[in-house]
Amino acid sequence: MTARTIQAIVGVIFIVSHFAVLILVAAFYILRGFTFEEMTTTISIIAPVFAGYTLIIVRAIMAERRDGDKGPKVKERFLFTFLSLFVPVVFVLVLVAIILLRAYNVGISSFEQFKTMLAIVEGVFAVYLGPIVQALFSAGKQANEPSTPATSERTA
Amino acid sequence: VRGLLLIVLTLAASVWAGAAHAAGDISRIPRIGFGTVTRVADGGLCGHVADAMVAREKIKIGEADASDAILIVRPLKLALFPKRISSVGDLFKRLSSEAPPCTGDSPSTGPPAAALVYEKKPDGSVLRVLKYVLQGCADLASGLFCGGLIQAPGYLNVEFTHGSIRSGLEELKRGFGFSPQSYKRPVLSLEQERIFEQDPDSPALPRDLSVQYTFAVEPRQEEPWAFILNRLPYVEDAERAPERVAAVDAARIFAEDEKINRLPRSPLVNGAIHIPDAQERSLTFLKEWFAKRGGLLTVLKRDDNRLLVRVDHLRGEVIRQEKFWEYLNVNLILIMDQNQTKLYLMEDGYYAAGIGARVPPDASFASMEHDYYSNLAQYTEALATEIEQNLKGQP
Repeated sequence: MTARTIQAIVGVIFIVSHFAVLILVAAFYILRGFTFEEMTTTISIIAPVFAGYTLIIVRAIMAERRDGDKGPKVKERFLFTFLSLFVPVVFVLVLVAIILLRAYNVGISSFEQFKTMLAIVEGVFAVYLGPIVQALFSAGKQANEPSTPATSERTA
Repeated sequence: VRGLLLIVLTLAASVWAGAAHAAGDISRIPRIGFGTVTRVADGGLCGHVADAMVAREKIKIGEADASDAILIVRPLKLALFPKRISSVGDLFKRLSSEAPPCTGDSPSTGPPAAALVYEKKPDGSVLRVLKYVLQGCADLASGLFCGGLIQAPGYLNVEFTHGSIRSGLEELKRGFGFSPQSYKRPVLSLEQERIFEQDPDSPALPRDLSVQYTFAVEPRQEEPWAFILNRLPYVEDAERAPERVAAVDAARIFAEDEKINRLPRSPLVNGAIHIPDAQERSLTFLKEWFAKRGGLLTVLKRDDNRLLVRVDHLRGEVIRQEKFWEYLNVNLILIMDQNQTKLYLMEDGYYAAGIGARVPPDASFASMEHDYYSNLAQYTEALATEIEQNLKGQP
């Protein structure tokens, strides 16, 4: 799989799941799986985390909109491909699973527990997702950006 | 145009704020709980307090013959107004003397102003069911305000009528499962203390000996319980207990107290019916009523006069517009009084979200009194009516 393909898949996963998870929470609110306060609190916890990743992705897509497929079509190593696809998918699945468990009252005894679980999952996955999103979507940006004065001094 | 709009908005905001403020605060004065009362009040502060008490509960004012109770708000010699008075005429005779001006401050001469409510009983006598001294009340430009000490959530002070301490304590234990936590009384001599321990109603003790027993009740149920206990002939006065002053971390304790005190009180509905074996019949009715709605009823506490049940597995029963899981703690109190059974119903409701058939754990439930108080109050009213109708309709 080439870097472009991985980029496209991960970008789609993040952007689609960003909205899908929010819609899922809103749908559960309508079905009375959440109270209004629980729904708003859940959205306020989940939305910023996704927004952090999707912002980088959207910026990269916008920056590269005229570039087309100009880059060399080099196949990425299997481990990189696996990590880049596996971690975002598991992250989204775990988030959805926690939301489902809470809405159906399985295994989570209070909303406080639910919030704690969300925070832990987001913290744990941030360790992996940060570098992955950075590697896939910031490479072009770094190359285009002029070097900072501090870097220049060090280079000199 | 913008300037004009700003002025109009400012005026509207100030009128709204003024109206909200002018409504005043008489939340410390207990509720009356009757549909029609005869109002006996002087002008000034007493008149305003009487009007506010009547307006708060939307009570009708009627003549002495047509009303359920007599509301008196004026400076009074409280010793002249015992728990029970033989007739309405006798009560009015005691009021006939000229009353001094009504103020909220302690007057240097003359008696303090107080609010009393006497319930008319079937035998013609009247029973005092409310006594509130208006000390701490003020008629401010912004509205009527009654202040006082911070009240301790979950505690009631009860004083029994003269000669009824022992029997009163037994009645409260047998009827409601209440045992005193502590008591407060003036210092006695060693001999008197010995007598008091043996018999608190002994004639050898001073006649004016005042003993206040403190009972624990559920927080937010203090006012409803005071309302019920004050209607018992052997209870001289039941009122919320003031918080003891705590020097260490007092702010934290008082802040927590005030948080609980500001919560709405458990809704209470009362009625009078005449039916023997009312508690057993009510329990059967409640079981059937909730079984039809998928509820699971568990009896938590049962005393002679009180039935405390918990109803689980309810869905959208109280909060009809939502389909939340709900559970209810229902306190049904039935008191026989002069060939009538007085019915009091207190309900605490809790709700939780959840899809599917799995009932959420207790930790997920939140009290309905924050967001759905009117639903709970309406449901309590409707259920009390159903119980009453059911009991009346049975042979």
